[in-house]
Amino acid sequence: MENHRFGLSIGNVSKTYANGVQALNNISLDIPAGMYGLLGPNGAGKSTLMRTIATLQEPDEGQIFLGDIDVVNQKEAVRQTLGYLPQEFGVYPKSSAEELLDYFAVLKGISNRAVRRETTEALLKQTNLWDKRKQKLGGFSGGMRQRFGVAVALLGNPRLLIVDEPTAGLDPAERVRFLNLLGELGENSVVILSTHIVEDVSELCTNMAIINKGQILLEARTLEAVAALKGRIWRKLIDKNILPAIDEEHQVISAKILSGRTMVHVYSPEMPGDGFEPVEPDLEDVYFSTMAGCYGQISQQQKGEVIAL
Amino acid sequence: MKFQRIFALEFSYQIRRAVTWLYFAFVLGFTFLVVIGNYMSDAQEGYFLLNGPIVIATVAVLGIVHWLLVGASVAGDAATRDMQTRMHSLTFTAPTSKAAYLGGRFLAAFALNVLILLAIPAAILIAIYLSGVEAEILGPFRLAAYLTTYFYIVLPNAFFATAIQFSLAALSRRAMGSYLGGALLFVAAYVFGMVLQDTEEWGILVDPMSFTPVMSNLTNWSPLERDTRLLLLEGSFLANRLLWLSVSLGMLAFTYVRFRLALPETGRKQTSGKLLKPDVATPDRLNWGTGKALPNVRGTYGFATHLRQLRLITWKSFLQLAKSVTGLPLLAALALLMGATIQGNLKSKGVPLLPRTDFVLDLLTAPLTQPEPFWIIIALLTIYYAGELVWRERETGLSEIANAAPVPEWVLFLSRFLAPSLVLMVWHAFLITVGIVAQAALGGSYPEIGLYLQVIFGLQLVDCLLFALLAVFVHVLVNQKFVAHLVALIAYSFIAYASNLGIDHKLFLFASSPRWSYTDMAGFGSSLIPWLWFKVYWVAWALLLAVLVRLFWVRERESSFTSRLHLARLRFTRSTAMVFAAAVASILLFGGYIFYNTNVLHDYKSASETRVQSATYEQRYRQCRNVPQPLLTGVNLKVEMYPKLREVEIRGTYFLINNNPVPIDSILLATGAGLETDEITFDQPARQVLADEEQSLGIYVLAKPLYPGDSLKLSFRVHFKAQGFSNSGADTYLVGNGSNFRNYEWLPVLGYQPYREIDEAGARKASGLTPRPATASLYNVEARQYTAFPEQINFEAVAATDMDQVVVAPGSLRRTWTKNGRRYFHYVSDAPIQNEYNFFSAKYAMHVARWKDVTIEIFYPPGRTENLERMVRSVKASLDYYSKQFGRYPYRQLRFVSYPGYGMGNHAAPINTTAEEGFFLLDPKNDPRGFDLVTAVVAHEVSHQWWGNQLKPANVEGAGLITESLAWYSAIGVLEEHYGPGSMQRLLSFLQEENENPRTRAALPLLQANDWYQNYRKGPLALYGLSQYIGRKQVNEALHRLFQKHSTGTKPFPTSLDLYRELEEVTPDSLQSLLHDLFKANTFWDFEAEQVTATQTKSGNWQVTLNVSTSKMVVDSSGVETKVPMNDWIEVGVFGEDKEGGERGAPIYLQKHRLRSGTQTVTVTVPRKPARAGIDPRHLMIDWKMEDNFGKVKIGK
Repeated sequence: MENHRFGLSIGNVSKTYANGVQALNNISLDIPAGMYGLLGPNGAGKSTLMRTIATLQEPDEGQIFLGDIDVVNQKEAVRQTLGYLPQEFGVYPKSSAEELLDYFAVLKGISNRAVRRETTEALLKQTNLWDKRKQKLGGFSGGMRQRFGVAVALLGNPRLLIVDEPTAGLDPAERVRFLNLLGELGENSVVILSTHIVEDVSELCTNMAIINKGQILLEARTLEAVAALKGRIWRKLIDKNILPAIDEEHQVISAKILSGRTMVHVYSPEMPGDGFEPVEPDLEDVYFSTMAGCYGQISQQQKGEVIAL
Repeated sequence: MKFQRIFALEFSYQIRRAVTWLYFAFVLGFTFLVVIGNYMSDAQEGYFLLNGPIVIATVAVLGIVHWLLVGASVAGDAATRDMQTRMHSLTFTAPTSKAAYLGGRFLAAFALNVLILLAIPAAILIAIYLSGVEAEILGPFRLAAYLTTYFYIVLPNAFFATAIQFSLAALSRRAMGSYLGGALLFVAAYVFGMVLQDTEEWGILVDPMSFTPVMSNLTNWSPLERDTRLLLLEGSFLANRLLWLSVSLGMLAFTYVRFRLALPETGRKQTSGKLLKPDVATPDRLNWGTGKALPNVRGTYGFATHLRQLRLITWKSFLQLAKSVTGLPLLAALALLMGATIQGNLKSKGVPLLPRTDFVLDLLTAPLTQPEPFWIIIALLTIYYAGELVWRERETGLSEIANAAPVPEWVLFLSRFLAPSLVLMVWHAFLITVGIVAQAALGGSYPEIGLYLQVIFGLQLVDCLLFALLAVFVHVLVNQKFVAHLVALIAYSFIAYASNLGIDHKLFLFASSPRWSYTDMAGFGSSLIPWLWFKVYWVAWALLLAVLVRLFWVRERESSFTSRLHLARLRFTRSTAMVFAAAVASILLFGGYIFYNTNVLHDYKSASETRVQSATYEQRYRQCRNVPQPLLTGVNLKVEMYPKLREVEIRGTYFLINNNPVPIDSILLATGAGLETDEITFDQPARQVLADEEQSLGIYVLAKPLYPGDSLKLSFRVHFKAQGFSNSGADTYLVGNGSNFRNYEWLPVLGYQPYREIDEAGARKASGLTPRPATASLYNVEARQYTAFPEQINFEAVAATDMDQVVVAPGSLRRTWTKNGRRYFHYVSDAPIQNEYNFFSAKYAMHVARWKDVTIEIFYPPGRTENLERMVRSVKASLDYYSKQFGRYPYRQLRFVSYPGYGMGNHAAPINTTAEEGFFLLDPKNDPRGFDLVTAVVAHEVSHQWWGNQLKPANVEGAGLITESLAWYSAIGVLEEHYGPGSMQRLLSFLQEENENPRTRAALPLLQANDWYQNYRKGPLALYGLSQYIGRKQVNEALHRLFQKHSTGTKPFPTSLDLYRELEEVTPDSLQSLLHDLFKANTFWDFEAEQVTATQTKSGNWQVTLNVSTSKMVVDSSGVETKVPMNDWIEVGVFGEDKEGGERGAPIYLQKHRLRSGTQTVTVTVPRKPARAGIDPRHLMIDWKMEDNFGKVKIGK
């Protein structure tokens, strides 16, 4: 019940920039508590959506509610329970990590000095920055800075955590740790993870959406979305030069170079023959088939089937 | 090739930006306003032609000095944009040479600046030829004037500024570096020039923008030179250009050597010498915690939290500002520099003043509307600080995180206002420290800490904080950092120079108010109340601005106007609306109250309205100027002064007599402005036929004409009560302590008053009045009928004031008594006085002495006893000398009466000489020249009891020769007679000091001179020089005769021609030509001792040979110099060994020799060994190059 109260519902949000780019086109989403993945290529409108939820941008139309809070008109209330890690951010190069984190702790309303010290200490330890807490932020590496950003975002135990492309600057080990941390946090908060890395979502997010060109292409439970593709993805290792021919005949959703040859995945409800072999679908296939425009067909089919039942 | 690409890319990038063209428009607009607002009126007054070459050059330097910050933006951007946009990782790694990279960028910046600076000649041409300037104030168009200005000033300055700013920015890798450079250049131009103005050559050399030399040329050149002379590359100006060219090239070379095409982070790390531990990611070290361990702490929100946030952000922002080089270190350096100027500025005519707190504070403070160099820098820094803070988070990239934090806009805004405010408070604290240290170092006075705190933190800081708020407001609203800098700069210039643009009313000029003043004697007097009302009004405006800032604070990513407006509407909550309404209501309320005071209680007149009023007076009543009027012969007054209530009531009677040969039937009576005059009655039937309220003037017709010799009594009542305040502050006539008013401003006056006419030629023309010279010609016979205060009156007054104060008026104090808790004073003049007198009321201390039957009284500010004995001694010596030399002192008192003020001025009214408070702070004991200014000035003022008060010159050219020159000449005599030749020589040297200040030689001859230098310096020196040729006795005899003939006060009044005639009488024929050269022509001699040798003769004497060169010329009032042949008696002097301290030794030989123009040899024989010898060693002739008159004697074989 409580989960429901703190869900985020986005209704018919649109945004067009002054230069005519339509960043968000009538977007509606229901985001329950837990980890929510927002997948999409660069320029899809993810960051615009994230910033709009993070009260840093006004939608032209539509409403956003976090539980009972009207995000567009009650920004202050949202900010009080918000953690935000933007895609790109800088730091004061001459401040130390501890100092700046303490500063943000005050901004986030943690007034009691002792509590604040406890909080910042815990966060610095969790982000593995404790040993470097006295070091100037100007000397931090990209990963360290990213971790620092995480620590800031986690200040004040936010009920809405928005992380925009968080794993971009992390090395593989850091990425795993970070995702684990997020996963645990997601148990009683809304955590929106915006990314273009499919693995981030597949490993953690119960729910997800795929966005492109300002529109939601797919909104689904991650496992169900993968399951729905079962038996429809086929693969074949081919020479690069026959890819155009294959593309003409089949609905190719991805093509990867694999030791000098090309591995193509195609979408097909039936066995395509031609030396294609079935493959166990994963979220990447969901992503690519959605981007290729195939996934919409099955979800409609499935819905149709449900109604027919 | 690469060089060209880099140049072209940078140039085209910047030239496409709107801000570049905004800069162009700014320089264009500013320069245009300088021409129209500043110099056009001077040209109309006839000081110069508006397109005179030096005027064009002056406008150009003014434009350039204000362009510096614009130039900083262009140069800084070119030098650091790659670093700022982090594109340097691409550009620096490209195979580009350092020379091509830096060279291309620098030249592009230089080219852009040159382009922007084309606005200067463009604006001058537009202002002169396209804005309807009248042809009378223009000379012929000369291309050379523009070319010399552009190529000798604009282009080199652009190069110097761009080179220095570019270098600083490139080396510091921050655009801020170039702003720092701009500020340094600005300081060098404005401040150093001012500080070093005594040592002119240095002032010229050190000024990279050539502001000092050009401005001094404008004042020092003759009218002819101003209109025609081109500014050429010569002398110290050329040296200046070469010096700064080499400095600029040196900076560029240094930049080339030091600049590294490397990433700034790596560069910085190596300089700091700290190596970071490599951040190797071993999996087990990356032991991030788990969510379970996350602190389950949530923020609490509410007003208390917001206050804590405010405190923290403010403090962090303050630290950021304070720690940077442009923060407290720069302010501390400025404060030190300002402290260093205190000693130099706390002087009057080279005499140190006791460093009393009120005077030190006057030096340390300046209102926003009257910028002084240091305060201009503070204003610029304030703008810079505001920009840094408003943009800090966005520039570091932290804004998205910070803006998503639950901090209300008002906290974000207020912290950005409070942080620079704190910095400014520290600056003010520095000022207090500097003031106290200076007082302690100079000695003789105790710092009044309470007063420091009150004035610096209570008054001065308010202006600064108001401006800081304005700067934040501009930065938030404009939301483009550099455009906002520019807008704020324009706003500041506007505030500072608005009066030049005709905006006088302080209700329209942000943060402006009438000035406060505080002196020990009067305290704040009446100055604080109007100051306070205006400031409250501006604080209300500040509140309104603050609301707007909150509404438009940029937090979201989008910055389009519509989206900001939309947000502002959302933020316009009930509480905001209430604050907004309160601000508007306060503005209306306080503004209304101020308006009621300035425009209803007082007659607010702009400068042009005042001019119209004066013009109307002349147009309506000039026809009455020769209508016979009765003469005032006696005044009887009952004066009730209420200093605490700031009120006076005067009942008066005038005794008038018809001294004209014709009957009088009508009387023109003008009453004082700004007070009530009523109950005007004559002792004969009369009726008012005209009442001109605008001019405070009435015409009365007598029922029976007043026949020659008949007398008439006029009674009246005058009532003054200080009513609130006007746009220029509250009246200072009646204040708690130190009240003072004069009859001419307040009491009725008969007849047409020529002094109310407009004198300036331009203003006369603009008002449609017939042209006339500002001062009537010496040869205008009709004008000899007028003098400033023609009547000699018998004076009697009973004046009362509060119990604790004393009233001073002219005449003998017959009786004093108390009644109804008030003190009464009865003054009666023993002999007629000139109709000019003051009433004073203050808590005076009194010092009394006697000379024969004359009582000497000094009414001084309690405690200021330092100079009393000195003053008394000088008064006694003066009375003694003048009464012997010129004539009797007619009164039985002689007083000096102090009144509050920062000045040192004295004014010799009959019997009572008024002395401003500062005069009592003069500290001649510590004068390094050993010169006693107090004694000299007292002798000068006492002398006015003869020259000016008894002998009144006609109001024509050369009147100052009779009053001021004779007063100083007489004082020289007092010093010689009573203080010895050493004292006299020091006074002469003091008067001669002024010869070394550069000024134009163009002038009228002394007999027609009206300017300060000729009246106060050249005149007495010429008279002294003459006395050394024809004898002091002879000169004094001539003065005695002049005095005897003309001190009766009958018309026509004497002129300098009468003085000249008496001097001719006593001058032998052989020296008549000298008399002529000194007084009837503007003559300059030039003496130079080229070589001086001496050999000892067999008899033991020394034969001294001087090779001298001499010349003589006459300069007319437009500056045309004519060499004239010389054949004059000139002194030749030989002097013994120098005294200790380098002073010239005693003369061994001093004789006049007849010398001709050109080089010649003079040989004299002296009994002792000579050390120095020279020609005209006592500077009896007018020779401005005094130091080359001498030579050290070379001993030959």
